[in-house]
Amino acid sequence: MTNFQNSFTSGAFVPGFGSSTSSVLGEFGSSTGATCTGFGSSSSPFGSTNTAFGASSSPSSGFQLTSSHFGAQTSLFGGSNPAVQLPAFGQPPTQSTPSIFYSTSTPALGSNPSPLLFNSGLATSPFGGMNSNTQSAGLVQSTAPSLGQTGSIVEQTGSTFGENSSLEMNRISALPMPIIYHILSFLPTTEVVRTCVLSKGWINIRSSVPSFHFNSRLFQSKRTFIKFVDSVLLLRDGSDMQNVSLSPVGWFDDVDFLKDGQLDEALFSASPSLETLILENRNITPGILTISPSQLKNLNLGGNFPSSIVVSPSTSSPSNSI
Amino acid sequence: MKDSFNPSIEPPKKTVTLVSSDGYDFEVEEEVALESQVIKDGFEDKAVDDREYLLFNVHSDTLELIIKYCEKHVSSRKSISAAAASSSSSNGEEALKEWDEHFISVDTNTLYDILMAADYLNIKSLLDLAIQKVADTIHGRSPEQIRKKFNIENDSIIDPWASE
Repeated sequence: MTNFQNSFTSGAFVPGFGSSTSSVLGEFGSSTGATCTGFGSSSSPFGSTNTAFGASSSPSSGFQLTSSHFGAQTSLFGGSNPAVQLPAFGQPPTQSTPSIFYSTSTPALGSNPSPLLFNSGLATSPFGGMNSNTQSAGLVQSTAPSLGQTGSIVEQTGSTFGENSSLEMNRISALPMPIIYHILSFLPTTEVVRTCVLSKGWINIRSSVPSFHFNSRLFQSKRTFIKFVDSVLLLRDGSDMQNVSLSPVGWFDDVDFLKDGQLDEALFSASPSLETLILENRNITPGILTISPSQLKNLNLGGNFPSSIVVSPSTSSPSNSI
Repeated sequence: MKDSFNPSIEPPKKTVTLVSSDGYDFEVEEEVALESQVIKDGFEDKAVDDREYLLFNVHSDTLELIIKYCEKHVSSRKSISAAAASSSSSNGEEALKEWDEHFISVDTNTLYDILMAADYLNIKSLLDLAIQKVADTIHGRSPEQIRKKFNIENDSIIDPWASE
């Protein structure tokens, strides 16, 4: 645990990360319980390459698994995606009638943005307008005895998104955030960043999107690629990252970019819901790479790495320090 | 002669009734409805005969498409596994992919309806299909083209061309 906090404080020196550090620290206390959600419908855009843990890391890297929590969370690391039903995430899904499922509204930023088992509702859309179309998703079995409550839900959802009257409407901006993130996770990061000029509502999406595919093939020179990766990562707003794929090819044969090793630590340790981390042909300056992946499914490391890599799946565990 | 001696007589298929937001009933086979993870969960939780589900967020037009998709996938999954069992070569999966491709080639509005319904009902394969379709629409297009495609109004304070 001490090690962990060290990595955070060092992260705070990086310009622009002050806020991210504090928000993540504040979240840790409660995040371990909630981050188990979202397996049901989230899909990895990286295919199903389930690299065995540390299988491709360089021989020089000591790979330490330092927590007894691994046993309990084994299923998270395998390929199987059990549809985890949300235990008390957000407000309780059922209130007085057990057969009404309320939509669980996701807190917009800074928490696990993966799609929830139940429809995550309108509260997450930053765009305004069209909200009535995504209003509370309720699956109700008709035999529910409490007619009063059922009736009120009907009123709320009077306008549903099946109405085809408004062909002119900007419906992509009205989608819930998890779906927008999901869509953007299929695109290379260059195109994700480009969406910020679409309209006001899109300006900040690029700084909270949880998936990255950095590919140097799309760039003319090494310098522009490094600059791009650096600026994208620096402009993060502190939300968790889920999938990171960094694949420099070609000219990257030396310790080159993100020279400030602390940036790595700040980034990756501040992402408890990291699911995929792919670093290829990558040199990380000496130090300790700390990641806290409570949901890590794919880890693919290639290149020279620091002598210690700490993978601490649960921050509440006291045995995380090395 | 008892039923059990005659394999050609199957017990009547269990059905589930799905009610769309505008009040239409759709009676579908149980296994088709179970393509939806949400219905499946509700089903397993209950283990009784609540066989009618009100889907307040799915319009009948959309629900019809969704049911079509689920039926197709259930039936082709069966035929694929049957072909695999009899070790006969079949291009069932490719045919299904083609069918999916054709199924999702709809106008943007319908695409959103399908997307939202698939998310709501948690039908993972359909959600992936729809999301991939939207991503393909964005991919490789300039911001101006994306705006046009999705009817996004340009109220941006950033003018990308201003400084050049």
